[in-house]
Amino acid sequence: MEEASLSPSRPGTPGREGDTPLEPPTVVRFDDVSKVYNGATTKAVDGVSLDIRAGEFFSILGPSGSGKTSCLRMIAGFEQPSSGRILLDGVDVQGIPPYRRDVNTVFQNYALFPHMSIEANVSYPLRMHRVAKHEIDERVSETLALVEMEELRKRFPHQLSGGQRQRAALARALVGRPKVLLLDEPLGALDLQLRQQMQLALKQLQRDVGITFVYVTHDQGEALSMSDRMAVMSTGHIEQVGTPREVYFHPNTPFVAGFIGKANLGRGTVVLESGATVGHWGGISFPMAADTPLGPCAFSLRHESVSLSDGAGDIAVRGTVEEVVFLGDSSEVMVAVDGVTLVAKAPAHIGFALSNGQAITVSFKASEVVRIDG
Amino acid sequence: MASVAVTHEGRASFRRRLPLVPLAAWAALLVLAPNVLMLVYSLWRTREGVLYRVFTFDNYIAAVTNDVTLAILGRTVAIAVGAALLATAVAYPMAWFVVRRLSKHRLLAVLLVVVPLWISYLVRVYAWKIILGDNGIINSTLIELGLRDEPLSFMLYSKFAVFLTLTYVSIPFAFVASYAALERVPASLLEASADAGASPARAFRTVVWPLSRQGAAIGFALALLLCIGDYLTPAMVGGLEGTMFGSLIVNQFGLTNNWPLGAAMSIVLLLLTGALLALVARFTRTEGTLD
Ligand SMILES: Nc1ncnc2c1ncn2[C@@H]1O[C@H](COP(=O)(O)OP(=O)(O)OP(=O)(O)O)[C@@H](O)[C@H]1O
Ligand SMILES: [Mg+2]
Repeated sequence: MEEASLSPSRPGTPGREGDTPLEPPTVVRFDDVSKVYNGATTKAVDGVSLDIRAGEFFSILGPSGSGKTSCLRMIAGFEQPSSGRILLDGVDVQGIPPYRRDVNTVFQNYALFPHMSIEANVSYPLRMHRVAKHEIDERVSETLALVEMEELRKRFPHQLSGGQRQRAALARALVGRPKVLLLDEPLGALDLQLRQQMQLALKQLQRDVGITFVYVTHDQGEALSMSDRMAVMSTGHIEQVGTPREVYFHPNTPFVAGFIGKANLGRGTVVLESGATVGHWGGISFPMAADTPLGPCAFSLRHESVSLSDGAGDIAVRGTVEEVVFLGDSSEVMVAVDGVTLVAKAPAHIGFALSNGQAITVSFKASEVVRIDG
Repeated sequence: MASVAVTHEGRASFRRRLPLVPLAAWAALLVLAPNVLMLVYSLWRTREGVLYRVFTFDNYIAAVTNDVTLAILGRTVAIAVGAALLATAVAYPMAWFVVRRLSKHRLLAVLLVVVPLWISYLVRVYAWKIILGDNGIINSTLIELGLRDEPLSFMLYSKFAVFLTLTYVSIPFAFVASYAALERVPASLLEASADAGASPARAFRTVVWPLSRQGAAIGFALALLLCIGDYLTPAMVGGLEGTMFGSLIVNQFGLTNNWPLGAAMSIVLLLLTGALLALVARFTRTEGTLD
């Protein structure tokens, strides 16, 4: 793998060599990519290395300003990396202008051409690639059908609703059947209901067309529900790459544990006690897997992993209720236990029944405590 | 609330337009009245400097059948259209460069192009006399360098001088109109175009030009209006050869003292200009809007 990436201009897919045969080939590779904008003092993207595989729905998740858009724009060719390389299909794309890259973008503001009908917008990429007229007609109809926009094909962008514009932009990006489709918060401007509807539609579409999607979002729910794999970014670097399950249940860093879902985070140690590996978090002790590294570390335990009854987990501890926060469909109960405050997610009616200062037993499964470096 | 708004819409829209009434009256007074007056004059008869309030088309017939007048009209249209076109052709790419390439010094660049407008028109035209004249900058340099023994005489007091000067005075107008239009073309559309596989040249042809050509047309129209009726420039740098229709019209109101003929010639020029502008508008229309 190292060898292959040293010969940048060699055609073929060097990304394939080190992978197991079952894994699809890499279509987008970030190789230690950094980006410093002109006049900026900090790196917008900081040493990102990443493999995105053919046909997967890959999300880049991170808070505002973490460098997601910058990554996407470097794939599209609108920005150049300050250092490092980006490989598309195994080829270093340094210096290749956007119009010669086999990727298409769905822009956050859609960027539909206001002086063209929807039909003309969608046929635009084909016309730019000088596709034959009859084939253009066929593929435009096909793509408009895919996003359910056939009836609106004669309209102009200003005559469409936000959701319709979004679908038109999607059709324009899909019609050229790019290797990779880049989507920059494509649902950002839509209301919640339409958003959820479009999330399903997008995921379905991605399965149907089999194109690699690189999906930028700051909405963790979106990333978790739609992605095959996802990268979590913070201040320009990647914190963790993995399946939504891995990222959710096994965060690698305190940042990921805190950013995705809601988790109790705290410092503790892992020690060997008479042959057993034991974690100490404040005054709470619990068994850990035998191969867990020893020494000081951070622990993470999701709010929903903490139960307010003593039978639900294998570790039960006594504490007192500090505060109850009502969230509508549920409540967060903060319980002080032996120097640690554990937050439990509980059904709203249980939260209502509790009062501050009340003694209570909480429990959790030792296996759901995640040890994090740092 | 909504239904109230609907029933009162008629009155509301009237009330919204109410402030426009004085504006419309003002415009009518300023724009319409002189033209109506001109139209009336153009249809009256005159003989040996005496005006008769008798309806006639003679003035028009005189205006469009006189060979010299017609030749000058043709020359005027050619020079004005040429100068306006050249000014637009120079100003539009200049505006594109300023919009796309300059970020920090953009305002400064715009100011530099527009600043000549602060100087009196007369002075700007006079400057060209200094540049093009027999003892002007170009000729003295040529002679100084030994490239020529005597000054190039075609430069001043010629059609060429009028054309050049009119082009120069038109550029700021064409620039401002083009700039305003080009600045409104969002950069994201250019990215979308490149993303779809369009080379910069094709992106320009398919996106930038259609979305800004109305601005270019407005610039052209302003320049044309400025050039086609001008009589100052021909008087100062045109000589006999550079006489324009505007000079003829001025003469009718002055020396020759034939106001009806002058009025008829003005109307002819007005109609011709209107036709030219309609043609331009027809070919630069773009559907859809930038919002
Ligand atoms: N053209 C630019 N010039 C200078 N700095 C920029 C430019 N574009 C982005 N940045 C900076 O780079 C950093 C990363 O920006 P980027 O747009 O990639 O963030 P993002 O993760 O997409 O954020 P958001 O979720 O808000 O869209 C930010 O600090 C931003 O201020
Ligand atoms: Mg962004």
